[in-house]
Amino acid sequence: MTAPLLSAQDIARSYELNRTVWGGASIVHAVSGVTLSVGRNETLGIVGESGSGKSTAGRLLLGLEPPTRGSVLFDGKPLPSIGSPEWKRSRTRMQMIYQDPLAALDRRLPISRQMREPLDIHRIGSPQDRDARVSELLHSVGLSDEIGRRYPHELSGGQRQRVVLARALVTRPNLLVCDEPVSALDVSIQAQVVNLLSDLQAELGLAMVFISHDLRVVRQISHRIAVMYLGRIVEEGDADDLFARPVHPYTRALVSAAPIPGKKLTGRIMLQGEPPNPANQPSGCAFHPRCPVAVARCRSEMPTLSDLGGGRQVSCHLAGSSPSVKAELPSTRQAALPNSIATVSEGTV
Amino acid sequence: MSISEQVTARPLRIWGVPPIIALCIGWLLATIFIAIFADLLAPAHYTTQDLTARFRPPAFMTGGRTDHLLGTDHLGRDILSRIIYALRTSILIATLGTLIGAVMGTLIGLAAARFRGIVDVAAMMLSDVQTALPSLFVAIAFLAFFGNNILLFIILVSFEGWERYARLARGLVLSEQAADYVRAVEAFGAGTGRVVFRHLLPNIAASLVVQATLNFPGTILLETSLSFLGLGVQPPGTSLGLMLGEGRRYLLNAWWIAVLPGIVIFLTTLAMSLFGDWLRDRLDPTVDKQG
Amino acid sequence: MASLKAIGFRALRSVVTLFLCVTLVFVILRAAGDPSEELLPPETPPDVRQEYRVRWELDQPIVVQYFNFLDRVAHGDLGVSFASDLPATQLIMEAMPKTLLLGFSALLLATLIGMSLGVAAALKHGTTVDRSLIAVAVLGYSMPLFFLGILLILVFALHLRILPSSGSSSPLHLIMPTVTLALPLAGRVARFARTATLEVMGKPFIRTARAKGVGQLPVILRHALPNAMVPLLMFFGIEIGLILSGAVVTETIFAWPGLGRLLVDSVGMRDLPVVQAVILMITLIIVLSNLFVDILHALLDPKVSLARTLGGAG
Repeated sequence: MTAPLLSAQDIARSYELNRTVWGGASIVHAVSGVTLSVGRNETLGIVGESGSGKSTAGRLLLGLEPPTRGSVLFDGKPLPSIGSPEWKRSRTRMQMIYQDPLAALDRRLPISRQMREPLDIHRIGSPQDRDARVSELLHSVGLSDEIGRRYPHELSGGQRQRVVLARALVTRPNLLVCDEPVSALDVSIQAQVVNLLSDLQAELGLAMVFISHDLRVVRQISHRIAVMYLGRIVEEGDADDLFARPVHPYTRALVSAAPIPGKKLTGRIMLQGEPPNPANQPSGCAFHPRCPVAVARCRSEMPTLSDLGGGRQVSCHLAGSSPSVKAELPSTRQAALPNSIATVSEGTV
Repeated sequence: MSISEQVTARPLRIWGVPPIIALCIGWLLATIFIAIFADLLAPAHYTTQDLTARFRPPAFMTGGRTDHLLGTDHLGRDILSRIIYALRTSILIATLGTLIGAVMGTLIGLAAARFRGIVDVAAMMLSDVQTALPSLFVAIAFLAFFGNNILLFIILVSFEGWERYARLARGLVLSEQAADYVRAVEAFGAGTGRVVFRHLLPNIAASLVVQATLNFPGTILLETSLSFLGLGVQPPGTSLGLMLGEGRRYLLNAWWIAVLPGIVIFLTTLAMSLFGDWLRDRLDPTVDKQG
Repeated sequence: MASLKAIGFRALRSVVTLFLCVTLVFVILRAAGDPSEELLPPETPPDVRQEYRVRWELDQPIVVQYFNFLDRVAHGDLGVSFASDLPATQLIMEAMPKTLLLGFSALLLATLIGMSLGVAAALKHGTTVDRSLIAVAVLGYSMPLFFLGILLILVFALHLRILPSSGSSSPLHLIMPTVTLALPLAGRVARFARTATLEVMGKPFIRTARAKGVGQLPVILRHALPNAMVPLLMFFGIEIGLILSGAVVTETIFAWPGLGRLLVDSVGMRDLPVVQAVILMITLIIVLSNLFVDILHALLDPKVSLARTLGGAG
């Protein structure tokens, strides 16, 4: 098996908030020890709700922010420090696309200019080469040359996101991180864009990280999925397998809320409590306040990721025990508080 | 709503603009025209004296003659010509001052927003000082201690309102640079120069231009006030404020020496104020209304 | 409580600003060169010159001069006038009440006129009355002070002869300077008042009151005015600099013996210690009044927090 293109080892990222002259800042642990890898031609999906740290993880993987701890290796080499010339050069090999395509484009510049910009910045090719490349890329995302002459507000949401995608690919990167790329689009367009991403990956051999709160979408495009909660990975494994046989209680809740065509929506697991707050993390297992099957140990001791075989890793004290875990999981607990919410909410950290 | 918006309750527009604003623009263009072609337009040079023709009233009053359409002053100098040249001086100084102030203020605001930290604090302290010492006093202090010098004068005039550009630029840049498109361009490896000059500045330029039109009257007033007090443009040069200052003594018998330049100043600041208000309402309501 | 921290921070900021201004004045003064060269007549013998240099401490290193300067300023010693040999502080103390009188009268007049105009315009929003009142306001604040002053003198003092045009010896003398200073300010107050009233008029609680049949004006007075106090105060805080600037020109035109005229006269006579002293005094007045306004604001407005203070005026 070839070495992974991207490999992150126990990375963490904390922020200081509300620093005053009198001291007393509060510390937010956005990401607290994540180990991931992504191979060429592979898509890793990262799923989580608001506050899970998934977006921060994405930025760490790309080297857009420095980790407070741990390291990220790209193609076997550590990422250069931010702002350095090597870092700037590395930008051509890894890129990101964003949630809101209108915000991701400069409203005052025509599309082709913006698509050319990465090439201009790195002085790749002659001006004619760059224009040709822009044209090539517009076609590859299914847009005509005429689009290049327009301005962002003249395009539809789907078209804009394709432009953002094309722009990200213009320097032929090896790695593409997609942070909620379809959340702002109409459902009908979402499928188109996801398919496009999938096709492009196959065609270009991209390594992709697909970040979303929407498990269904992630499942469509990912080979492997990592589920994040409050800055940590709670479960990781093959996409289809994880969807069919989720182990971690949180994953089970997420899966149960995602309807599968042809299957009735039964046994939906409702989670109690509030969405997690990274500035105020619970003791022990971060999920225990909302976990339907939490036991005393969960309150005091933080679980670690353990290998369950078959490429699956789970971070839960109750995992790895018998299938009886599944039996206990609460279809019975549906009578939970009426205003408890399966809070797979939107937004990114 | 500015006065111009009121007028558009009836849809009368000249070249797409309410009539009053069209008048303002017309006046402003006329002043620019006069400023550029002063030499051609003025019947006489502003220093030409004719001591036999002192204190002639303007042509529309009894005793006035058409060879001095707006009368003469205490030295027999033609008022019309002097107003023309004085207008040119005032417009020039005000325009230069506005440009310098705008550039200075914008750069400071940009730096504060881009580099944060100590630069931001320094900018804030500077603007506090400017608030505590209005530009008139700073100008008087400098002119008192350093004496008069046209270059110094222009720079002092440019101090009027710079902190408004700075504050505006800082606020706008802070919000723009948090936007995805800026983060994206930075993620592509763009340097600060490209980010600032190709993306940030073009996107905030409209607001800055509006602020300039709003500041302009203040700049003209500063220049004319200083000249009026005798601290600005010195003889033999001429400025509208200086003419007013000189004419003060002869108010009783030759009021036109002071009043006519005053009217010109007033019309110009009025036109600029109305135009600036209208522009702001049209383009960008986010600009500070108190400015 | 949060606003206490805000007040403390604001006070600290005022002190820093004051300190910076004082330093700036010192720098201007010294950077302009050796005053003894400028001010003494050229035929002064060198030993007399030297005596003056010692007296003004010009022979000391610049840093020592600076700290001595700070020390003197802190103790209220602002130097001695070249022209009259009196302490600058004394001259200032004589002139200040006049300026304060003029300033407050103008402020009062401007507020009365401006608020009435502004609120009336807002109440008659969209009608001819509104438009005319706005027009008057714009005319007001576009009018150059010195032009207005001269016009007033021309009409009322020279032609109609009902008001005196210079000096300050009677209440009549106060009228024209006050009107001159007040009018542009009134224009700005009117604009501000109109905007503020319009904003309040759109608020739900006003509509509720009106739905209950209460007339517009009582509602405005009872509900809008208290809420408008805080922004109005902040508005004045911003305007104080403009008022003092206007006072300089106004006092000069009307020979009103306040700080403004003192300043201009001193500049004309190259009486540098007095110029310096007046500038410092002006700074002090503005900084103090801004601080006062901020404190009032922090006390009256429960939403003021430290974060807003930090982010707000920078």
